[in-house]
Amino acid sequence: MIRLFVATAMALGLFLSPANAEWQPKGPIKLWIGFGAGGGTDTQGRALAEELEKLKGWRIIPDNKAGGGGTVMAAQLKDAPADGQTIGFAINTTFDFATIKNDNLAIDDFTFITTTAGSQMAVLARTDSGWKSLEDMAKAAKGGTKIVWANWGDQVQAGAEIVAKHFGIKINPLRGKGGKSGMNALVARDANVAWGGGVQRGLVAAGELVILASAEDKPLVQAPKGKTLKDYGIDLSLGFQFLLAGPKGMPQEARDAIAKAIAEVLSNPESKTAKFIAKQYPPGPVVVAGDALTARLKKNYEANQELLKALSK
Amino acid sequence: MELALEYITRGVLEVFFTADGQFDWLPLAMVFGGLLLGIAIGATPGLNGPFAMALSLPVLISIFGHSDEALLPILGFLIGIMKGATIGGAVPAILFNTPGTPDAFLTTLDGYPMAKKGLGIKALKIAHFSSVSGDTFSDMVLFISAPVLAVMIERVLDLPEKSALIILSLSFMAAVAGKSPTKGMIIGLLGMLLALVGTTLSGNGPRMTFGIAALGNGLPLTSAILGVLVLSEVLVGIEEMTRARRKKITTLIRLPKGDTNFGWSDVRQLLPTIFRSAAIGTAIGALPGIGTTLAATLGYDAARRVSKHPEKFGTGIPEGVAATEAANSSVSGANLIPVMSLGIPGNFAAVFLILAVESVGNFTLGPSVFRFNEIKEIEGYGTIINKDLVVAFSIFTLMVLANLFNWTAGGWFMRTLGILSRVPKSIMLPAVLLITLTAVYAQDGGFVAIWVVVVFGAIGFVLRKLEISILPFVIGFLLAPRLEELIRGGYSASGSDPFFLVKSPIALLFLALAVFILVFAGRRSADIRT
Repeated sequence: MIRLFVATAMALGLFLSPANAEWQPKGPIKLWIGFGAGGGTDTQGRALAEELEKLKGWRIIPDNKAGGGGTVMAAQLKDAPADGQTIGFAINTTFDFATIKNDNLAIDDFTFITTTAGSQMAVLARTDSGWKSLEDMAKAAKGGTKIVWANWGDQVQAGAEIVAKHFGIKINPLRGKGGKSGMNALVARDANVAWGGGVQRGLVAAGELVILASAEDKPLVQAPKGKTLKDYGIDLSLGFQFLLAGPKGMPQEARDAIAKAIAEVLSNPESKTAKFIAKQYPPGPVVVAGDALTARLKKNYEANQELLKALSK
Repeated sequence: MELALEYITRGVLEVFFTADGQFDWLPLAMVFGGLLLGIAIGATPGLNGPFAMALSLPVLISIFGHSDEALLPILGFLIGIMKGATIGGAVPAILFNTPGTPDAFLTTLDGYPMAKKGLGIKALKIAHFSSVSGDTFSDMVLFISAPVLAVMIERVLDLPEKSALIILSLSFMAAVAGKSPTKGMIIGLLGMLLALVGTTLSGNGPRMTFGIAALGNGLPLTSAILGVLVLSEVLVGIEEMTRARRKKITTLIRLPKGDTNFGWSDVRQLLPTIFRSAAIGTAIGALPGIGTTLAATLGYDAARRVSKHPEKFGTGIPEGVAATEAANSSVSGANLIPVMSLGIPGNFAAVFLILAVESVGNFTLGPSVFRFNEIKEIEGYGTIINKDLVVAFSIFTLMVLANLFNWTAGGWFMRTLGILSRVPKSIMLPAVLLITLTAVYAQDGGFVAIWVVVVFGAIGFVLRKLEISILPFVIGFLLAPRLEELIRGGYSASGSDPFFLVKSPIALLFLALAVFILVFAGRRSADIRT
């Protein structure tokens, strides 16, 4: 009798153990992609949706809600039900930069789930400019060359101003939509300098574009010996991460279950998502989840406030 | 040169083979299917090619998805429709004196008398031959001139010049697309105004959304365009149905049967006419905003003027049929010249090709496509290549395929459409309405799309009732975001010079031309009225 009791208790215990009582969505999960079809976020998001479906049996419906560097999506995500069945995919600046001095969005409006990959942020120029470094660019600017610097948002435009300030030169910003617009502007000769977050890979490898500096904390994979902005004495790091978030107040178990499932997909080097990341955003997936992610974003938020202050001086 | 050939080869192979080297029948089948549908649609009075493209695009996207691989099958089908519809319109024009598409009206002038003489089948063969010849000619001009023009434009034009060029094209379209240039301009500006809803590039958050977060990225494009083009047509149809008593379908006269042969001697006799009309149609097609009807009119007119016996036109002579059909069919290929070289769509068919390329996969259509980057294989990276250019050549390949099908099966299929196909409106309108609403709901995400399609349907309905051309509205709506990007860019890149737009001589010339066209066209239309 006791044995039977113990066996039943064990069986029940197993059944109730965290591994089995894992969170399950009650219906399809809407995955809102904060950028347009065909871009880096979109490709990752759709591949991820497919592989999560396969892995967990959840039904995931990706949907593009592009605009404003992910903020159009974030504005809608904020008011979505916080049940883990509506999640958004954008980049960290959507939450830790665009929310500064914003009437509609605040960093606390969201539950941050996990990052997936990190950028390869570079200052780029056309190879035929003959420039090899930021000094070459600054020298040309001082010699009378008009610098038109393509960007896709306020934060990177501010970054360009800071670089210009450092060298004591004047630059003209050129705003486009998404990272690819900067590449188009360079190739079409509408601009002679541009930021690139990873889309530049093909054009750099083809020898069309040249990396003048890395805006990450370390040199870029395509220019392992190149200088970072910090090496130039500019205290600026503009590298960004792709990340998933839900509305504020999302249940902890939903957040953890989704983060865990994503980590499982990304840790398999054969998965479509991991392969794309390894190619476009080398060396590979970057996974920071839960509270650690929230803490990092808050820290970025404060650093970005300082950046804006420094610029307005 | 070798590089260009390499790109062309890859573009061709992309159509026939999958990424892993398997033969891919899908794009071919899609072109063929689209072509047959297009011919049938063209032969149905009240329906036209762009209408069928509008309805097919969202359905195709829901079948094939958004991935890069989906692009060629979808484009194949759309190109098939575009080309099929141009030849289909002649069938009811010749056999029943009812043009299937508006531009086939002039085909009735000689086509129907021929049919009455018992030469109906022969007239259809002439129409088919002239139509496909004109189309093929026009495509060849496109293949050669688009890349050359694009490369030149990207070299020469800077941001202010590109802005001015768009302004020039928009005013040209406003001036020529409808009856009144002033109305065209006003309606084009309205389209541009509505395109301002949503995010700006200023980074200051969304504008004109009335606090609706879902409009943050602007009014959904497909919904807006389907609303103004398709839903308005449905509304007009419903209005006509409730107003007019059902007209009796004209009973068909049994047409006599006569000579059905169409041989080399006929071809030789008609070739000069076809060539002349094809050249006229191609030239017209290359200008944005001018329709096929004008091309047909000019083609017919020119044929009559050079003819030794102009009085015979309208009595049922082969030259009459050939002149109109070659002219109106040669518009479609050339219409893609402004799209490929300037990124400016000149007609509705081009609008849907642009929409397809923008919504599916990671491609763009426009002058920046024609960059002949060196193709390199890099270890660990894969191939470095300008994918957009490969796709451009794939599009050309799909067009050639459509032409081949058109030359062969198209003529046969066209002649089997011997009965006047009229879908009863009581069936067609609800079906179209259902497809439209479902399609935009699925593609543009939810009820916002439904509201947008309804509002734009109402706008289109009013425009149709006032007999104002919808084209300037749609093109204004479509091009305004790009114009804003160029103008903002030109302004900030010039170091915030308020006069940046008039400092470049080329830009100044474009702007002066734009003003001249509007004033001149306004005067002329006022003269016509008085």
